[in-house]
Amino acid sequence: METITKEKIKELLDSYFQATTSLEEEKLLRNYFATGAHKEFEQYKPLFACFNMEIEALDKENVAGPKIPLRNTRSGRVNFMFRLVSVGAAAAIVLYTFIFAPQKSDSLRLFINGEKIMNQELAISMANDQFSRLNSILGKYQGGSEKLESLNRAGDAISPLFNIDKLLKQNRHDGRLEK
Amino acid sequence: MKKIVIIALLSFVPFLAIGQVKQINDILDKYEKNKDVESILISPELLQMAGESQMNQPTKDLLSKLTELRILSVKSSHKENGVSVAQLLRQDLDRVISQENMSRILKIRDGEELMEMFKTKEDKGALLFLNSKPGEFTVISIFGKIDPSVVNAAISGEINIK
Repeated sequence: METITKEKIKELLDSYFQATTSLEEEKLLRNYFATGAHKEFEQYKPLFACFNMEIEALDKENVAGPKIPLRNTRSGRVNFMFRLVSVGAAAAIVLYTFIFAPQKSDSLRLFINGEKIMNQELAISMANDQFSRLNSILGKYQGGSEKLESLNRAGDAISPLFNIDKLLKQNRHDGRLEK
Repeated sequence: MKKIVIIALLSFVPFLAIGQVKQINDILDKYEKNKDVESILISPELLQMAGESQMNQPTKDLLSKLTELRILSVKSSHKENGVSVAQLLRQDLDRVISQENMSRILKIRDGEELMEMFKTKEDKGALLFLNSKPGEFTVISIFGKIDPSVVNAAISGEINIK
């Protein structure tokens, strides 16, 4: 194995920390720190050891089988749908907050002949008048429904008479009442 | 592109239910600043605050289901381009009623006065009262969770302001 000089390692490390090393040079550094390192560079050993461990772990995963894209699995689809719904919900909240909600901010609004009037008592009094008128008309409906109900009751009361009539007709048909 | 379309559709799902409410509100907004029009918008919270002492628990429960009360009253005599504003308002409302398949719950005629009550298909929607009488057309709209208890309360005259 080719021995690398201390100066070369120093140079490579400088390049590494400036992110200008090639993949080959990085591999060289990793191998150097894996087989032992000069005392001066001991502090970098754990860093490159960590990289080696990661590479080994990735190699093992690749050996285990090809990586299946997440979105093709069931949980991947669920995650994708969840993300989609989350974005939709966020969009809905934004739309509601900035577009629809401001229209609902009024707790009282009174316009008479196109003029806005800020008078809570007048507004409530006018609304009360309108509801009273409405309730008075609905009172007539209730009167009507009571009449219908009484008709119904009358119908119930005379229904036994219909049963008697039906019975008489049936007996007449059977010839029991004819002599 | 497909994702964007799905996200856009998903973001609009919650607003389908409030579409009818918005349409009715838009119509009322359109006419509220006209001459010979009286328009009142009151939030149930304000009503509760105003009548805190007199209000009984059933009324409070009822108001808690509502989000807004709007009343718009138009004088039949007021015209725009020769057409009665009351008539235009009625036409606009009729269009929403038929477009949104709102169901007519009641129709009461008393002499020349006609009162109709409509409800949106969804519970979270609106209850509309259209009252036509000579000289005036009034729309009373109640927005919120219009469940059977609210409809029954409205029919039996339990929704009182004071």
